[in-house]
Amino acid sequence: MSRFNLNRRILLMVAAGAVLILVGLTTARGPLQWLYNVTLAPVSKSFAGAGSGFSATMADLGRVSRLARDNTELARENASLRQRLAADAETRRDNQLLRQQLGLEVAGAAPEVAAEVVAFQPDSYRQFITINKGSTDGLKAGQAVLSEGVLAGTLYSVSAHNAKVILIVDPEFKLAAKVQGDNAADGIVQGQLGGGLTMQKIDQTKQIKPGDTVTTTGLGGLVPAGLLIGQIQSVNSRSNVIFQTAQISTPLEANRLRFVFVVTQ
Amino acid sequence: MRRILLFVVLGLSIAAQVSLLPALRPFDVVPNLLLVLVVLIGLRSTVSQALLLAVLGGIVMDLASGSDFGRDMGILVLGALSTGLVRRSGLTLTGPLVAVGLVAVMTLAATALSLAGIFDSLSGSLSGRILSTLVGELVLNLVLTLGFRPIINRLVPDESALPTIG
Repeated sequence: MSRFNLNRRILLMVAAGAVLILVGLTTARGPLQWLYNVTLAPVSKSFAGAGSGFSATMADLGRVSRLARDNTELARENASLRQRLAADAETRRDNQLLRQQLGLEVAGAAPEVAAEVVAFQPDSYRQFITINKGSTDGLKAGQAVLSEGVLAGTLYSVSAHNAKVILIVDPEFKLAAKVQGDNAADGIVQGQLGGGLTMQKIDQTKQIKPGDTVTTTGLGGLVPAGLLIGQIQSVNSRSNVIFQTAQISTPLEANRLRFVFVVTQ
Repeated sequence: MRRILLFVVLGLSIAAQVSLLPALRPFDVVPNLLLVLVVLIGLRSTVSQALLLAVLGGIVMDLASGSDFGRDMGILVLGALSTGLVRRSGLTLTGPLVAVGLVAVMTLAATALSLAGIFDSLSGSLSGRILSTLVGELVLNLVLTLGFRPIINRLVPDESALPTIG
């Protein structure tokens, strides 16, 4: 093969790449995504499942020595939660009765769409997943995504049959949140490089402590209020700064996600 | 037969890059297997074959990624083209050193591009975290290079002696 022909092949290949990028940058990404869905998605879904299962097993093996202690702590927490659940059920009944008497709309459970994870972010710095539901299933960008009852992220972009989720631990994720309690404190929850989560812009006058629950506020966007984000792990409060910050621990394990629920309300 | 096996290996590698490797996340990093394969094929076979893998693998990575569309393909295409430059320079390609060096340089370039995209969201205190991620990724990519090199050498006919860039 002549040098001219070989160089032409290289040029053609680079041009093909440029065209594909241009197609992807426009709204015409649908056909590419469709091609991915019918060719690679079934394989990558199985791979993702196998990988998640393997990493879960390895993590469980590492926890074996702590199982007895964890079990005792969980049993204690379970009993306390049962008590709170019983009290909450009573409050909810009272609330519904009062709302009915006042002629207000009675709030129901938010509708959710179940979806399967078909791909993960292929690099070490960002945290996205791709799910197998899209706009044809009623999904819209900005809606909340839950995993095991905890906020996993929000919909970043939505195509007809797929959607991309930005996880709460991505460095560019930001969401209004509040610390629950008598002295409720508002702030901004933000992801961190390496999978951490912080809450920033918390008023210095608010008393927050490790163990406090952090939930969504419902302000701005399509994320409803009251979704669990995590618990405060540590508080960084200094008198010479306007706001205090807190490290949040979330039960979310990004690389083990297999199924998620999108809150479509 | 070798060609079919090669296609199967490359197809599975593309799928693994967007599913298995991020799910496993060894040492909390995602190694770039496709970059490794692009470099190995570019050095062993022809640049155009490496480019084909770069374009196909890159588009799949970009479809799975939430980062700027085209970034992953751009890195892989750059990796494929750099193998052409290395071959033109007349370096001896028999040992693993050239492949290891190229993968290391391209990993650094990919990291710089990733961090540039989220520069506003990073704080100075994270430099240790960035460094540990980079080192982890470098080590894993180099291990993959050494691990996959014999496989690619077996599946891909040696065309590295060809004097042209192709």
